[in-house]
Amino acid sequence: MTTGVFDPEQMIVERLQGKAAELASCLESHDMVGAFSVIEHINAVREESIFYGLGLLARGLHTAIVTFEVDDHGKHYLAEDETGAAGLTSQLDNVVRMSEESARKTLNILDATLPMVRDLRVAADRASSSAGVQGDFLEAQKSGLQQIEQNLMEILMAQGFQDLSGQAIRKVNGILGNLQKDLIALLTYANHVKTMSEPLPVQGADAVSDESAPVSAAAEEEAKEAALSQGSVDDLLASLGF
Amino acid sequence: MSLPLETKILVVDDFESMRRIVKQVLHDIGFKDISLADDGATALPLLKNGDFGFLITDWNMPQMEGIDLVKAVRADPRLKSMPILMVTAEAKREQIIQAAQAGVNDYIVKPFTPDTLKAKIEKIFKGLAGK
Repeated sequence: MTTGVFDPEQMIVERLQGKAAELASCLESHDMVGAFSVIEHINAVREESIFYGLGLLARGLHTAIVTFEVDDHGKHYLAEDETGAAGLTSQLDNVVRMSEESARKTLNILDATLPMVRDLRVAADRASSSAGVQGDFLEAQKSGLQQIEQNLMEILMAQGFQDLSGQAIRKVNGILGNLQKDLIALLTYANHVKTMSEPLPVQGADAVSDESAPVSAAAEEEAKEAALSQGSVDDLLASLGF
Repeated sequence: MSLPLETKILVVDDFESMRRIVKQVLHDIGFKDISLADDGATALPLLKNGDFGFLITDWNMPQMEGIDLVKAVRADPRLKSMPILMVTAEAKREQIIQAAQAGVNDYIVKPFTPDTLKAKIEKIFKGLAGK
């Protein structure tokens, strides 16, 4: 029964049930040629189910990367990329830019403040050695300035997070991009295998058809390229029926 | 030990924040003449055309990585004896060995403290003074 929502698992179960009935019929009539032909078809269904699993995984990953959402607070800071999509990789790049900008502001303040504190501390140091009755006050000032200088240095060193987190995000972005590319390449390869057996129906939003979607030569060529744009990934997935 | 604070130093890192942190720590130690570069490709011409006496470089950088910069410096007749400190997030054993084989004088893994940087610099210059 068509429910309006495509369910690949249900489709495969129905196909196997149909083939099981055919197999039983062939065996009852001692049609061994027909029986082995049905068994071959059953094996083909198993391979195609793997192909569909890969396709759904590729589609899921691609959708997650393209439509990655952040909460309302985060959206205030994160811009859409040039394609208009608030994609995951684009947003991670924005995180790197934001943290870099934040670190830059902090470092600007530190650059302006640290030399002043150093100069004051050195001046207090010199004065305290020849200050007479004011010696205690100057000694306290020197001690306080030393502590401020030490605290500022710790703030300075803490800005190193931006380098380390930025490197980590760049690596994650690279892995995501490669994973998507590899899945598309695997999917294209699996489609070649699929064409050697009976094709499964094309995925549809509201119906199950018995026709397989042909993969255009252009789409296959596209999948072989080192880097695919988000738009071409969409097109390729669609041409493969996902 | 007393460090040669007049030494001209080049700090190479693709992250601006890290370049400025290292520069500020060097200022705190007492070094005054510090230049910055954002990767090996921009650093190498500066080194070849300048009179730098010490190189502090990151590993992972675009265009030209730190390890290739170290090799280029060691292959240059005029620069080959320049002391080099690598400051990087790369902490795998084989990478440290690779850096040592390329010719770095010492190696710091990020994140680091000002004391660590100062200790490493003192160790490098002490080693040079002993030669």
